[in-house]
Amino acid sequence: MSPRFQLRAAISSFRYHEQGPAVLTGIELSFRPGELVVIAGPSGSGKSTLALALAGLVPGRVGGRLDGQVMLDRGGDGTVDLTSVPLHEAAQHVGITFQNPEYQLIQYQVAAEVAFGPENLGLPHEEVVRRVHAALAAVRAEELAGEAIGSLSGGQKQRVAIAAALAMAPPLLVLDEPTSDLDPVGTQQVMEILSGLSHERGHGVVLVEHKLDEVVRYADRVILVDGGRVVVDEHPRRAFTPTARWHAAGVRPPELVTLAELTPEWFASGVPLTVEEAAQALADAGIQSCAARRAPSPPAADAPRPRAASAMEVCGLSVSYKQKRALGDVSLRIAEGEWVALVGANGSGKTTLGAALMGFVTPDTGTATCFGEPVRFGRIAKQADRVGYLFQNVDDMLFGASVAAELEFTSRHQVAAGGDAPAAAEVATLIGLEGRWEAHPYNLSGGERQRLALGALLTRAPRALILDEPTTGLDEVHAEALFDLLARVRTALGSLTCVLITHDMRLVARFADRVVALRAGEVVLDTSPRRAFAQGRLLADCGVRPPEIAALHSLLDPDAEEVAVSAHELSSLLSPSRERSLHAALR
Amino acid sequence: MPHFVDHLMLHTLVGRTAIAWAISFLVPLIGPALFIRFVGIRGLRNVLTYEPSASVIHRLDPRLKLLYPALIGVLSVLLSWRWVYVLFGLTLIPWALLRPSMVRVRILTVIVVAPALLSVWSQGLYYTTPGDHLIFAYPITMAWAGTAGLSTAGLVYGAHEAARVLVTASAALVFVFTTQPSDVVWATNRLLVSQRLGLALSVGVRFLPNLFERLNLVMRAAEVRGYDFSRPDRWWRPRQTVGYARRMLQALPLLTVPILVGSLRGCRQMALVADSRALGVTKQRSTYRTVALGVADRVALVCGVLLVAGTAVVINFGGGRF
Repeated sequence: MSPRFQLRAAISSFRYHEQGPAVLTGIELSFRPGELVVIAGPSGSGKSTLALALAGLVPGRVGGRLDGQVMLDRGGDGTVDLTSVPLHEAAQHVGITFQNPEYQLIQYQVAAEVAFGPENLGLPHEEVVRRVHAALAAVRAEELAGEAIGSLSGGQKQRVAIAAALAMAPPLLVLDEPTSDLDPVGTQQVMEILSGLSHERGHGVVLVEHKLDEVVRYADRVILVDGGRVVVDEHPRRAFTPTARWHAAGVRPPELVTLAELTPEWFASGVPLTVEEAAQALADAGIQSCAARRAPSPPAADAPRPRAASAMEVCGLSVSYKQKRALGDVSLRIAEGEWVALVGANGSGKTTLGAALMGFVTPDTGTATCFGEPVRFGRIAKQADRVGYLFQNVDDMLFGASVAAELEFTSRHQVAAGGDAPAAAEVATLIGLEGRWEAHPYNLSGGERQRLALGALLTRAPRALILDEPTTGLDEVHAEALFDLLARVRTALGSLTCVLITHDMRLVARFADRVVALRAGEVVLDTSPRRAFAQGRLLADCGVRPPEIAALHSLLDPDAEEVAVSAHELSSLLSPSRERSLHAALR
Repeated sequence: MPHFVDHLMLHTLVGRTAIAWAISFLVPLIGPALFIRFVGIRGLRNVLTYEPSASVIHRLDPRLKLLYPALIGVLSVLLSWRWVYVLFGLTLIPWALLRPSMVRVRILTVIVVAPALLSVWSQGLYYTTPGDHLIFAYPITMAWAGTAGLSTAGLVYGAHEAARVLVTASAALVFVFTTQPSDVVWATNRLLVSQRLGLALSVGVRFLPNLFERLNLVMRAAEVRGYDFSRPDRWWRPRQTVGYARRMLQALPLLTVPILVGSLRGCRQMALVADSRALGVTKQRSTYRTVALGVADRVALVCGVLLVAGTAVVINFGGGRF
C-alpha cells in the first residue's frame, strides 16, 4: 500500500517565455492516495503542461517562469516543494509517463529498463530485484521481463513505461495520454491496471486523456482545463452536467452523458458512466428493450455499392514479415466514392493492408489494383498519382520551411502532378491556411499541421486517400474538423474514395459508409457501421469496442441487426414521440 | 586484333588516359555500387544492431566481449602486417561459431571489405615515392590527378592498412552483433567506464534501427508526395543510374528536416526520462543482473591469454614486430 500523502498545486501562473502568454493560470488542485483523476481539455489548453508541473518538471527541466508551488505533504515525513528539488528526487515522489512510450524506454530489455532507475539510485541488489518484480507485477507484465523492448506491442510498451516509473516507488503517478496509440482492448488493459494501482494499491493516479468515453468509468474525479484554467473539478457523475460548458471548451462529453441529458426522466438516479449502469437505469425507468421499436432498414447510402466502379481491389493478398503472417489471403473491393474504415486490434493487419494498397509492401501472393491499374509494389511515386497516403505522424510528411513550400512541393521539386491538380492557393483556402502562407509548419498547431499534410496530398489531385490513424493526438473537435474538411474535399472533387485505418469508433460511426474488421490478418466482418456495431461479440474478438451508445442498444435489444450510433438516435428510438424524427435522422 | 587493342589501350595517349580515368574514377565507385546493390538505404537498419541467437558467443560474459576488440586492436598494432592477416583469420573463428544470418553476412562483407579494397586502391595511387615501380604509369593528360600512377609499393602499403581495418572491424562487430545494449551498459559500468558514456552507447545501439526505420518512413512520405526513389530497372544504364543518384542526393536536405526534428524531440524526452530515473546520481550504480563466469567464459579467457602469449612469441622469435 502506498504511503499517505497529499499533493497540492497552487500555481498563479506559468509561462514558457518571460513575455509570453500564461499557459496555466490560477490553478488550485490537490491529489490524494487511492484516487484516479482524469484531466481533460481541448488541444493547447495547458493540460500537458499541468501534468509536467505536477511531476516537478517545470520550471527546472522544461524552462519558463512559474509563480506558485507544487507541494507534496508526506504525512509525518515533512513537506517537499517539487518545483525546487532535483528531478531524480521529484521522480521518487511523482512518476510521469508520456504519450509515446518509444522514447521513454531507453534500454534493450524489459527487466533492464525497469531496473534502470533503482540501479541508478544505488539500491542494494536485493532491493532492485524486489522493485523490478513488484513493478512488473503491478502492470501484469511479469512474463515480459526477459523480452526485448523492440518486440513489444504498443500496449505492452506503455505498461513497461508505467512499471519503470513505478520502480522509483512514487506514491503518485502522472500519465500524459498513455493510451493515444492503443487499440480499445489495449486501452482497457492499461485503464484496468491504473484503476488497480489507485483503488487497490493506494497510489494516486492523474491521467491526461482525450478518450473520455473509455476512461471516465474508472475515474474518481474529472478535471476540465480550458485556457490554462481549471473550469471543472468534480466527481464524474456531476462533472459533465451541464454539458454546455464542455461543448464551449471544445471537448465532447461521453455519449452516455449526452443520452442522460437528452432524457433526464430516465436517469433520475444520476449520470451513467457505464453501459451496464445506463441499461439498469433504463430498466428501472421501465424501458427494458427497444426491440419493438427497432431502427428502420438502412438507408441506401449506408449499404455497400457494388455497382459503382472499383477504386481499389485486392485479390488473395498475403503478406508476411520475417515468416510472420500479417495478411492471409485477403480479398476486398472498394467502390469509387466509398469511405471504408479498416478496424481491428494492433497487429491485426489493417496498416499492412493500407500499405499494400499504396505499394509500400511486396505481397507473398495475390494482386492489388487501383482504378483499374495494377499496383506496382515499390513504385510508390507512381501510385501517388492516384492515391494519397496520410501518415499517422504528419510531421514525417512535412519537408518545407513554410506552408507555401509545402503546397508548392510538386513544382519546386519537379514532381509530376495530374493535369487537373488544383493550384496551391486553392488548396490553402480549402484547408483554411490561406492566411498562414509564410508560416513555418512546425509553428502550426497539431490540427493545422494535419490539415497542411492533407493539403499537400491534395495538390496532386488524388482520387483516393488512405488515412492511417489520422486522429491520433487530436481532440475530438479537431478530429471532426478534419473529417468535415474531407467531406468538403469530396464535394469539391465530385468524388473521393477514403480508406480510414482507425481505432476511433465514434468517427467510424459518423463518417464511414462501410466497416471492414480484421483479425490476425483476415477479414472477418464487412458491412455498414450500424450492422457492424450490432455484432459486439465478434468485434470484441477483433479487439474493437463499439461506441458506448451502440453497445447500450445491443444490450437493450440483443437481436437487433442494426444499432443506433449516437445518443440522439437512441433517445429518439427509445421515445415513441421521437420515433418519427429518428427515421429522419437515420436517413 | 588483340595486338591492336593492346596497342590502342597501352601505347596511345587516348588509351592510357582512358585506363587512368577508369582507375581513378570507376574503382572508387565499387564501394557505393556494392552498397546500393547489396545493402541499400533500407538495409541500413541491419547494420550495427544486435542479432538475437543462442550461440556460445552470445552467451559469453559481456565484459569479455567488450575487452575482445580492444585486445585485438592492440595486437594488430604490435604485429607486422603479414601476421595481422593471420590474426584476421583467427577473428573469423567467433563468426563461424555464431553463424550470422545471410543478410548480415552480405552487409558485413560490403561494409568491411569495400573500405579495405578502397584503402588498398587509394594507397596504391597516392603512396608513391620517386623510383617506385609503377604497375601503370599515368600519362601526361592525367598530371592534374597528382600521382605518377599505380605503384606496387603503394598497393603493399594499402594492404598493410587494410589488414588493420579488417581485423579491427571484424572483432568490433562480433561485440556489436552479439551483445544486448543493456549488457553494453552493464559491461561498461563494470569496467569503470562513465555511466553517461555507457548510456550514450546503449541508446545509440538501441535507437539506430529506429533511426533507419524513420528514414525509411520519411522516404516513403516523400514518395507519397510524388518524389521518386525507385531504383532504376537496369542499373547499368548510365542515364537511369545517374538520375537515381541525383534524386537521392537532392533529397538529402529534404529528408534531414523531419528526421532531425523527430530525433531532437525524442532526445529531449529521453533526457527527461534518464534524469528522472536518477542517472548519474550515485557514483557506483548497483546492478539488477549478476553474472558469474561460466565454462565458455573461462575457455575464452584462456584463448585470450594464448593469443597474447602467441603474439609475444611471434614478435620476439618470428620477426613479427611492426
